[in-house]
Amino acid sequence: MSILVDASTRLVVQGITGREGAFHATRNKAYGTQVVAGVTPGKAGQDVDGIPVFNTVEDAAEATGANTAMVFVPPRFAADAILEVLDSPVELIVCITEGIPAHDMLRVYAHLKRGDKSLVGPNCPGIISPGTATVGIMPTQVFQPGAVGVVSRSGTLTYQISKELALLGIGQSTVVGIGGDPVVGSSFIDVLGRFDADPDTELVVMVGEIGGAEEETAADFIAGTMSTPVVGYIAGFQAPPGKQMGHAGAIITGSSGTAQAKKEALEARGVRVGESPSEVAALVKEALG
Amino acid sequence: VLLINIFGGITRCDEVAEGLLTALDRLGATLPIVVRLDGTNEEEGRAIIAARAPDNVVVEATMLSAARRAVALAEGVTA
Repeated sequence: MSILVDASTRLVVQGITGREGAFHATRNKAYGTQVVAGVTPGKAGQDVDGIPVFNTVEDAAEATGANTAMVFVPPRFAADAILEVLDSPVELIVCITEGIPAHDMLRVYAHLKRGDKSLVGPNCPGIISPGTATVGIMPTQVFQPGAVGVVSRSGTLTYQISKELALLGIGQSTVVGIGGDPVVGSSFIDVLGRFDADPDTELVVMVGEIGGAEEETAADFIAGTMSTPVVGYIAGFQAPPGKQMGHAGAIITGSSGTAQAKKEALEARGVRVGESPSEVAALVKEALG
Repeated sequence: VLLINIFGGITRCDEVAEGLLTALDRLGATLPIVVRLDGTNEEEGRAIIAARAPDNVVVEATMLSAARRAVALAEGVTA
């Protein structure tokens, strides 16, 4: 039915008293997510739309049984906010914040990989299991329940592709934005593996973009390990080398990280790649039969 | 011709619409502007444009139709 986020999700929102934190916590709650707590140091005892605020994640988890944290903390404090969750009972962290220094994330990454918790993001739109729960900033009206998993480095392209799928009557099991930074907690492979193990996901759409080698690594994983079929999309065929395209991690360095190379790597392993969001939706429909 | 293509998540369409109106007010720009607004607060954003934007601003419902309209306007064709 879904991965990572579902009816059992009990969410604590870090930075809930900020403008974005309050707005999206309230929207997530309105969609049906159990938003059980917020955290802002020094503001314990307050509430945001009836959601109780605590000083620490530890306090929030103890009082409410929160099992998932969403980070809306400004960039310079966000790494500490993630580390705080790693030392709490909360199991899953979704970090929305963009602009966390890469060196801060290296420190977080090393700490994260020593344990068995999961981090999605940073610089990501979050996770939605349509009809059940959403954790993040996605425009929920775009999505509908179904059997296609989506994993993506880009928020906006995720919305566009999901909308194209909806026009063809195809819904999603879960949609996961892994984020556009060079250092992120969950790779394509981490999420592809979860989708492969989910009996209710019949097909996965992987939305990649220029920069790095994540798509190439994922191509090997799809061919070698997965039984669920995958349809791909790569953003940035027109991107000039050396120019950062929106995301910190979206940059072609020398001859590596180009959209063409990623498309070829995927197609060489039998993954069909759409050149536009509408072509991706058409390929999905064809593959589902 | 200016094409503005927004599918908002954390970006709110009503703030984009207000920002566009402020910019037009300040700059007095008269070039044709094609706007596509989807996502968070899309209805509020479209309503702001419909009620208060000058005649050189046109709204299209989809990314493709907005791109076509912008190209047509640039070529001097009345879409």
